[in-house]
Amino acid sequence: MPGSRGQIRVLDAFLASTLVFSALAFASLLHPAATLNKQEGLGALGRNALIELDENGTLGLLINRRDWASIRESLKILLPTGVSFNLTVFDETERPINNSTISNGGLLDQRVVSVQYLCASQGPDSNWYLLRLQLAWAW
Amino acid sequence: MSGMGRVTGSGQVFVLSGLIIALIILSTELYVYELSSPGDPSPSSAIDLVLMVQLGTRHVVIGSLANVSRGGPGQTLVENLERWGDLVREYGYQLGMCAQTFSVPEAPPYASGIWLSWGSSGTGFSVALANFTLRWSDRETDLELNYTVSVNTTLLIEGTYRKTGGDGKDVNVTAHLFNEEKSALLEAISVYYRALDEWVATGPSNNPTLTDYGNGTYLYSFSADIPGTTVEVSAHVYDQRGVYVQANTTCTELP
Repeated sequence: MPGSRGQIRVLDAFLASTLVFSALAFASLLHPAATLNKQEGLGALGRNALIELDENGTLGLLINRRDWASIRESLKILLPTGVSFNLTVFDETERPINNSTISNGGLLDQRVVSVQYLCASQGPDSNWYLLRLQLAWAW
Repeated sequence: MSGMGRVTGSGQVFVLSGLIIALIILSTELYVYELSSPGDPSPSSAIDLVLMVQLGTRHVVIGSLANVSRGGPGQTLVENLERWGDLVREYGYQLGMCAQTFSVPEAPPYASGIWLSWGSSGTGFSVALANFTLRWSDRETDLELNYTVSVNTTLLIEGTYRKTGGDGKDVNVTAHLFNEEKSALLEAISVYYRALDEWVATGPSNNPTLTDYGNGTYLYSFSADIPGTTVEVSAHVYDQRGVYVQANTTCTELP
């Protein structure tokens, strides 16, 4: 029965390829979770960079002086290569106060993580700011 | 029948190979996933939030001490901490429910959490103290943290002088500055001397020189006509955080 033998071979091949493709399909389901964790890691990197800069009051001091260039350079050092960022500084009334962009280029990745940070300056005038740091992987 | 047996056997090998390939793909992906997973992000977010609030609180306490020590209202610390607490509650929502309460010592020598002691024995300090309770909760975590923020700027001074003829005297004032018991650098210093019951600020006419030893110790030298044998000096200092402190002392005469 050459005809039925052929059919069985086709069925075997179909079954084997179904197994392989099911495995591939299941494996691809793991990727969104991994991407989510990668994005969470990006958020943690951003928060850590801001905490580091705020540790001795430098962040509040630089904002008081409206020294956006120094904040940009500090973030470039504190964030790993391959992370693009854009920082917006708001005052207590939620009005953006940075009149120049605090960024290392455009946010290239479609998946942007946003981190909010409350900053108090040490000076006698007690100024407080809300920072929104947007981050994305550059590749 | 033997032909059929060969076909089925070859089919089993086919399916078995497919199964093995599928298992290899799955195990490889699972291994890569395990390696790339940074773990549960929630605890790190909670720690970051607590760090952010604690850092901000400390800055608020330092700023309030700077304000009061420069002559600002005595209630500044309490008012600023209330406003800061409102901000924390308002903006902490992104990571769960967040609230911070505080208490400040009111019993003397403190007043609304501030103690300013600018004495005449060569020691002066400006202190701010507050206790905090930070509560944070989300679906998985319920956290309560009690902590204290104590900020102080201390100035110790010693003075010596040598007569140069008539009322003329060369005066040396050594100042040591501390932030939280650690040596600290100053932002600005002014030195005064007492002549005929009046405090006189030293200026260019007194040829002042300031030597910075780089470790929180400074030597301020000047010349002045000071009648009598008692030379009193007063050092007024701002530290690099903007906190003001002063100390007075009576100088010792050198032969």
